[in-house]
Amino acid sequence: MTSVRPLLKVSGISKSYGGRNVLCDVSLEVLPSTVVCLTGTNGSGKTTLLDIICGFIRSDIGSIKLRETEISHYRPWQIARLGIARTFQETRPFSRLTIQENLLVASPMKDANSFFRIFFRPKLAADELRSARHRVDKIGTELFKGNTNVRSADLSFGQRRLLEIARVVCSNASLILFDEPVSALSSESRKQVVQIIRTLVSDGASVLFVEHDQNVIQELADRVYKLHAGKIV
Amino acid sequence: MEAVLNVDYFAHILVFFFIYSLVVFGLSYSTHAAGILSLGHGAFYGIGAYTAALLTIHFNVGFFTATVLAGLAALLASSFIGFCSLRLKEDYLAIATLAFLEVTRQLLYNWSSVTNGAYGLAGIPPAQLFGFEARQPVSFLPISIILSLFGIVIITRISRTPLGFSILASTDDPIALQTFGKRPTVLKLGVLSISAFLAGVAGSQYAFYVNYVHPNDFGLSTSIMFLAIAMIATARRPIAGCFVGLLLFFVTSELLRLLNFPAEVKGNLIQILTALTIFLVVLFRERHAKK
Repeated sequence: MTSVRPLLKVSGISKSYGGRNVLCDVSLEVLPSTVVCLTGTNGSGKTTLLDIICGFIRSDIGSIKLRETEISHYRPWQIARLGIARTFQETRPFSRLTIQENLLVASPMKDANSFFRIFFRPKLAADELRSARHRVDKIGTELFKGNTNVRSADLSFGQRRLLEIARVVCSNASLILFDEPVSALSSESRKQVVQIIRTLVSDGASVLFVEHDQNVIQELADRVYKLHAGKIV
Repeated sequence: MEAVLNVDYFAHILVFFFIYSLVVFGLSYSTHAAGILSLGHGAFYGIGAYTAALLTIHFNVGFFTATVLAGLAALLASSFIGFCSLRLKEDYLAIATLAFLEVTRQLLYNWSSVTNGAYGLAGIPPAQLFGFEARQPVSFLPISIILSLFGIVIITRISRTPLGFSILASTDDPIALQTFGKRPTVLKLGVLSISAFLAGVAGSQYAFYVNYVHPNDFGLSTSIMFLAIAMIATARRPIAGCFVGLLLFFVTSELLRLLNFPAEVKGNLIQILTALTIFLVVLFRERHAKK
């Protein structure tokens, strides 16, 4: 029997602030094309764990491997380039940009994002931008009914949440971390988000999400880890 | 009134209009889009002017080469100051660029063996391009217009690509931006470098046009003047806003001249008006942001 190698392997992560243990010997795995849920009470360390995986916080000890690469000492942008994207508990759209521009920022582009290439290799940059726009427009039509020229600062909370999720969809990441993706959303928007996560997984991505809502957990999760006072229980 | 009807007078004003435009395009973009409040653009302008002057006087380098190298010298200086200080935020970054401005000015004053110190550098020959000598304001004007257009192309090209969107995002939310593999500090450094390059190119034009450079031409008052003009612009309309700022500045300045104010009053009035412009723009923006 061959065992599937995990996409993400978190082993023995501990983190303390001023002598208070926030996370204590936390280990978990995310297999390819699966949905893993991290649940637990407020203050149990769920968001801290996501921040550690993304490189925003350094753990005291422990290891994080994406495929076979140790990423615990990487910076957030390096981790993102390896294929991990995330959303935040509080929505964080780029407020001066429109929906379409937010999605283009999230799209992985090499040529259209380089100071050198947009001047000296303009054709490559233009080609890349054209294909990214095509994809972004498709997502924009599905999620925002094509109305993608609205500034994100003018969106409602639900639309901003949807925009955050649309951004990670555009990022083409292989592992997506959602921090309470359906909190404070209407039942219709919840269904939409659940559907998006399902589509992502069917397209080959893996998902690790933090959630309290038992219905959503049951609907989506292949595996559930429960955190209590910084420990997996 | 006679002066207004003089073609050379008009051309002279327009040459300075377009030379300044190059500095403020970059400065307004770095201020509004990338959130870099720079008080050091007078230094980049000065580095460009002195580089062009020294290359021309000592090595007989032509206008085009000297201008490119002047831009690159300013770019290098900005990379150094950017690398050291871009992790600083707002006020601290402004203070760091102010310190850089003063260090540069002191260097220009005190490194007499190279810069001729307080005497300044005289004898810079007029610009020559394709055998054509731009000695008069009217003949220099096309050069300054072309280089201003060059600045417009650069800033417009950046601001309309995903790179430009990422630059705006680097100020809106640098943490969220990193989750898409972007490096806010590198983006800001790129914007500062390009902005400094444009200021250096403008400085080179100044040297070739005035044929004399002095450290006092590149001090704090020059930086503040550029900043006041650039403040009118916005992140989304860097070019149009700069033109409005430049028009306001030059019309006010020339009106004061035509109204025959004594020189010492005029100088003070311009400084007061500059400070007032910054104050009003900041006040307007603050109120607009709250709505």
